[in-house]
Formats: sequence, C-alpha cells, structure tokens
Amino acid sequence: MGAGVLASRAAVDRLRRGLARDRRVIEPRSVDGAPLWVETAGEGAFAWTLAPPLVGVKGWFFPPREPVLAWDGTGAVLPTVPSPDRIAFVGLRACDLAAIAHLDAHFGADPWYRTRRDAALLVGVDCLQACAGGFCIEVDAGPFARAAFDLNLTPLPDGRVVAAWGSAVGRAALADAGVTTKAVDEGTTLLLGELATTAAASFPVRSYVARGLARLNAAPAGAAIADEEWQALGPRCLACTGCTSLCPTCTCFTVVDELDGAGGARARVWDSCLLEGFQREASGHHPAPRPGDRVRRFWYHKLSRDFAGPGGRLGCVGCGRCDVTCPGTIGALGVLAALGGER
Amino acid sequence: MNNTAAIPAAFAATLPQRARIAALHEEDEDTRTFVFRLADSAPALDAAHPGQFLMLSLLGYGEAAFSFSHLPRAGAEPGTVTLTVRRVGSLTQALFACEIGATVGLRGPFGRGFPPDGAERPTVFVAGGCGLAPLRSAIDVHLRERPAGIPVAIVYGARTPESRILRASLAAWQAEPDVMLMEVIERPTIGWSGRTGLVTDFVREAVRAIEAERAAICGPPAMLRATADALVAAGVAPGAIHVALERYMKCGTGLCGHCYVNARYVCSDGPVFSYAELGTLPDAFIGCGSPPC
Ligand code: SF4
Ligand code: FES
Repeated sequence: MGAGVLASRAAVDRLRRGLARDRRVIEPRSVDGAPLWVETAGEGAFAWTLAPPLVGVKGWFFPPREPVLAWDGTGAVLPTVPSPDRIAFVGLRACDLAAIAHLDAHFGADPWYRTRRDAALLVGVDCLQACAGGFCIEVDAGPFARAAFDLNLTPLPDGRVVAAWGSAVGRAALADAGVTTKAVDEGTTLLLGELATTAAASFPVRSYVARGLARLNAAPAGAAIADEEWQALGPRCLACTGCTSLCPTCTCFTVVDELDGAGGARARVWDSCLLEGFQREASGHHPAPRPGDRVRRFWYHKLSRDFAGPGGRLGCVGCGRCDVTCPGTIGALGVLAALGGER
Repeated sequence: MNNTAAIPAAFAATLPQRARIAALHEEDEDTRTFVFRLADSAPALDAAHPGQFLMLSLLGYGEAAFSFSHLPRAGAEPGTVTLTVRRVGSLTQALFACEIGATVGLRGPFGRGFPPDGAERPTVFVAGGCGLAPLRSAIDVHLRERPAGIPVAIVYGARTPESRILRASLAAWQAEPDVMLMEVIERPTIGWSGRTGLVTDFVREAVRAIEAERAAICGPPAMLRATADALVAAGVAPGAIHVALERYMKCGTGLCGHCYVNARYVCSDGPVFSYAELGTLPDAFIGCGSPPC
C-alpha cells in the first residue's frame, strides 16, 4: 500500500496506454447513451464522470457459463482449464471493488475463479459524487475505494490525480508506463479529506436504510420481522433473476451436463436463489416453498451481518443495480424502505 | 485412467475419481445398495467419517450428494464406497439402469459427519425410512468403537414392514449384545406383530432403557424436529443430539449456494448439526410438511 500524486490527468492516459501494451484494457464508455464496459486499448478520453455500467465485471471472473470438465466418446474425462487474456479494468467504482473483495473471499482457491481473477489488474476511480440510486455509503463500500484494487485513482479538482496502489503489480504498472508520482503532501491529504466529506454529503438522506438494516439484524435471527412482512413482499418478486444476475456479489450457480455427440461438458451456470426450484429436493422437500421465503432468504444473504465478508462488509455493496432492474420495485432500497417503515 | 499429466494440479484435484459398480443389492423396489470399487487408491475416501457425504457423478446426468452407508472404518473393504440410494430423480434413475461394471465418478468425502467422540456414552440412533442408510455407518462405527457393556438403542421407523432397508444390518444389530433394536412400522401389514406408529412414540422408551446421553437422527425432514424434540423431552441435551440435514447440493464445497440454511452451508458446515446449533438456524425446518423421502 502506498500513494503518490500524478501531475495531471494526462498521466492517467499514459498509464492506460502503458497497461494496453500487455493487457486488454477494459473501461466504461457510453455506448448509445448507456454506460458499458468496453475494450478501448487505453485510447480516447477516459470517462471520468460516466455513471457506473449497469452490467458490472463479475462475469469476467465468474462467467455465466463456466465449463469445468469435458468427456469424449472414449470415456476420458478432463477438467476444462480456462486461459484468460491478461486484462486491466480501468474505472472500477468503490462498490464494484468491494464486491470483488467479496468474490475473492467467497471463491477462495477455486481454480477457475483464481485463474481468471489472477489475469486481471484492477484500477479504481473514486466517486466524488453520489450516483443515482447508489447507497454504498450506507454499507461502508464507498464512495471512495476500500478494497481489492491494484491501483486507485482520485481525481482532484485542480487536475492532479492521487494514485494509491494496493499491490506490487499496481505499483509496477505505474512505473512500467513511465508515470512518475510525487509524495502526497499535507495539503493534498487535506484536500482528499474535503473531497470525501463533499462526496458523502452528496448522498440523499435515507434514514430508512439504517432502520431496515437494524431490524433485519436484530437478534435472534429473523425475530424482528414478522413472516407476514416477507410474505407480503413475496408476490412482488417475479423470479426474473434480474437482481441476482446484475448483483456484483451474487455467486450462486448450478451445474449442468451438456451432451455433444458421444461426449459432453459439465458447466457451472449462474443460478438464482429466487427461482422456485433453487432448493427443491428430488424427494419433494422444499426448504423455501413460498415466494416470501425466497425473498427473505435472498435479502438476508445480502443484508445480514451473518454473511459479512472482508472488512466486516455486508454482502450488499450498495450499487443500486437491483433497484434499477426489479419490476416489482423490491431491490435493496425498495426492501429496506419497506422494512424501515418508509412505505 | 484419465491423462491428467499436463493439467495444473488444482484443476486435476477437482475431477471425480473413477469407480466401477462392484456389487448391487436390492433393498426395496426403489432403494438399492451399490458397492463401488475405485480405480485408484483413495485414502481420503477410505478415511471418511459416518455422516460425511460424496458427490456421485454420472456423465450426462450431473452429480448428486449421497452419504456413506458403509465405510472402511466400519469394516468395509478399503478402496470401496458403499451407498444406499433411493430412486427419486433423473440421476438416480440413470444409476438404477447401470449394471455391475458400469463406471461412475466419485468426489469427496465432504462435510462434517457425526462427532467422532462419544463411543463411551449410551447412544440412541433414530432413523426414519431411507435415513437408515447414512446412520448405518454411524451405528457400525459406534458399535466397533464402544467399550464393552455400553448400551445402544436403535429406533428405526419404516412405512411398511416390506419397506425396511438394510435388513442384514438390522439382523446383525439385533444379534449384538447390549443393543436394543426397536423397529416401528407406520402402516402395518398382515403378519406384522411388532411396534406400530411413529418413531417419536418410542423415543422416550429407548432413552429410558439405556439411560441415553446422546443421540443421532437421520430421516425425512418432517421427522427430524419431532424426533429431536422428543429426545429433549426425554432428557437428552440438545447439544448431544446430532441431526443429519439434507439439502439439494450442486458443488459440495461451499461455493454454489444451493445448500445454505441461514448463514451456514449444509455441505461444508454440516451436514450433521447438533440440535443446539439448529436452534440458531430457524430455516432448518422450513417446509418440513412437504413429502418425505
Ligand atoms: S443487493 Fe442490489 S444494491 Fe446490493 S450489491 Fe447486489 S445489486 Fe447492488
Ligand atoms: S452444495 Fe454448493 S454450497 Fe453447499
């Protein structure tokens, strides 16, 4: 860990092009008006103020379909070993970095995840202002980066950029790109503090979030929220799996065998705990038979301290994606508003 | 053998181990005991504990979790794996269509089984239906490891006399000294003169008879809590009642999320939990009204 000051945003462009020398550089860009992660080779202007893409980077490390083994007609069975390109993500926001820290802890030494994750270099960019619908500040995941980055950039109003490195790879990336840094002086440290305060003040007051979290986390588990409350939310979940697909910390998968002639492949495929059959057993026993049971289980997983991950952070990083996608308006803020007595 | 020489070890270690069906035994119409012989030595499987499980793989059908019904620790031949399987889904359907010599894949052992200590304490085993299969290895290990004279009670509930599984084990236990075997039939047929009703009706009698200090339970979800409550009422401490939970499992290693109960994974934190622990996991018994196995 360490930090230095880059003289101008042009130094960041140098870094991006430097990274592109031996990595695919993936950055947020506006495509037909929608922010997306796209391959840029570090060319063009960096989108400093673009809203975070709705589809995050989870799928690069934990693909929607990950073959794990394959067999052929002779009966030979071999594991499927991914060979991901070296990549660099530039422009990850604090929430997405906190989410990657969660994925790292969850998947641990899993060789498929590790292989993909080890091929990636993560460059964060701090949010100087709240994004629409984001509430990272309520769950200690932002707006300034806390975790998982190799490099993290804080753009200063005077054009300079503070670069923090969280790994030797990140530090080396600056040097390899020929980017020089100056020590962070006292004035700059003060300025960073002011920027953090301004960023924090830019979030709308959502007192129901703390109230909802407190009720959800009251001991003993589940005691403070009556079953009827969850059952009332249940019918609003259409089991569309939009939230679990977009959620940067959702990791559930199923395993499917796909036949191909005399051979076949076994693959992990994203699953969703909101689907009716997620836990239904072959015997017919169903541990979450009603939609409200499944909604409760999901939000407990996201918002309960029992599932706290690295740094004691909740499974929800406050990115707001589920609220954008949920047709039943029971994304994280929707549910917290209901639990916190806001509606 | 698979040619895994060029494969990084971390990936090779995830492959199911190859095994062949060496023997089959029909328990009832829909329940069969399979003995698999591993192609290569598998020290981890040889050392498995009662209550642990493995993932059985059939190419084209996927994997499913099964508990061991017999183990080297209980006297089974090393290099073999014994599972008693009920035909309930597509994978078990396909497995039942396999004949002796057919190849399967085995991955494991996984999870936390029944606590290995306690052989010196009088113990009640309560099994319902096909729940006798995982409990069988626990009972056999316990009987081998208990000091002479320590009594054991086994309460086994089956729907009909005909649906009792593992009859050879039942007969063997019956013949052991200081073992009280109580078979309980829910729907007696003509010719049954033994106990009738539910296992819960006989738990107190079993606990009293051997002054039980600990218990192990395995069976359909609806039976687990009722039995544990009956054991507590009969004086067994919740912390000494060990319950084998069952959940749908896709990975066995705490990754896929399918098996979680509150904040615990049945595959890696369980599948055996004490009743005291389950008291802190309110979701453990949701949906227990749905059909038993
Ligand atoms: S639960 Fe919703 S707000 Fe929280 S991390 Fe997941 S998608 Fe983002
Ligand atoms: S079976 Fe996958 S997490 Fe337990």
